[in-house]
Amino acid sequence: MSNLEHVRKLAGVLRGITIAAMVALPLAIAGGLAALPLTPDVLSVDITPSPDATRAQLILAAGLSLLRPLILLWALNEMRKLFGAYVAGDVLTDHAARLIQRIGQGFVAMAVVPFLVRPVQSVLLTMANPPGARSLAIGLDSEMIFFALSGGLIIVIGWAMREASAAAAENRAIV
Amino acid sequence: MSDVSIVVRLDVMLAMRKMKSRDLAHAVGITEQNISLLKSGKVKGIRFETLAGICAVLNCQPGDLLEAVPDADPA
Repeated sequence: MSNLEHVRKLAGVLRGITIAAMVALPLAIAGGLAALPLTPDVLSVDITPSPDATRAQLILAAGLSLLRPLILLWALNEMRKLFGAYVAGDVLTDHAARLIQRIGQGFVAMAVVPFLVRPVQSVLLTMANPPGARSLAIGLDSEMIFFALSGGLIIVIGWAMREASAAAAENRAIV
Repeated sequence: MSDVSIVVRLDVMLAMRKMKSRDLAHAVGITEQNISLLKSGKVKGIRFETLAGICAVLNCQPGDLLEAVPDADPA
């Protein structure tokens, strides 16, 4: 079996898994939001919310928590497109290389967005506390570092693939 | 930038040998589309292997197929 056949076969399987994840993720989030009441305990933000936090503050904090799954969905969609291109044999092309770069950008966003959102959420959830008890949480965890490094790596691979696709295009123009 | 372009004279050699593009493509082992691209000059290059095959079939030298032509003066 040639390398291209391996790519096509595995990409077909991965595309199926990606589509399944794209369906399951929103369903799980929607199900969770529908089944559980919007209380401070439900918000998985690692910040103890003020007992006096308003519903608007809780909704806004919860909404900010949805940014990361939305980015994940976008990255999954780009993966679906990439695997689809691979299944079609569209491997060493600029289109596939750009899709790889977008996936990398999604991974970087998965690291950057929580880093920026967490301080905003902490202010929102503790704003109702008396002065001195309000907090501004800034955090960097291993998951953020993992996504930032992985995203950077994927973007670099995307650039390398763009070089390879340019070389392949030039090779196609030689008879 | 180079002020000389390489022009492929394959159509001339085919006419001299009274050979069709299809027959040449079959004999060399490349597609007829590639022969057509070669004749029209819409290629960036030609492999030595392809050139050798064409020369062998047409019984000619690479110089009979390729010609360096000065670019037209834009002034």
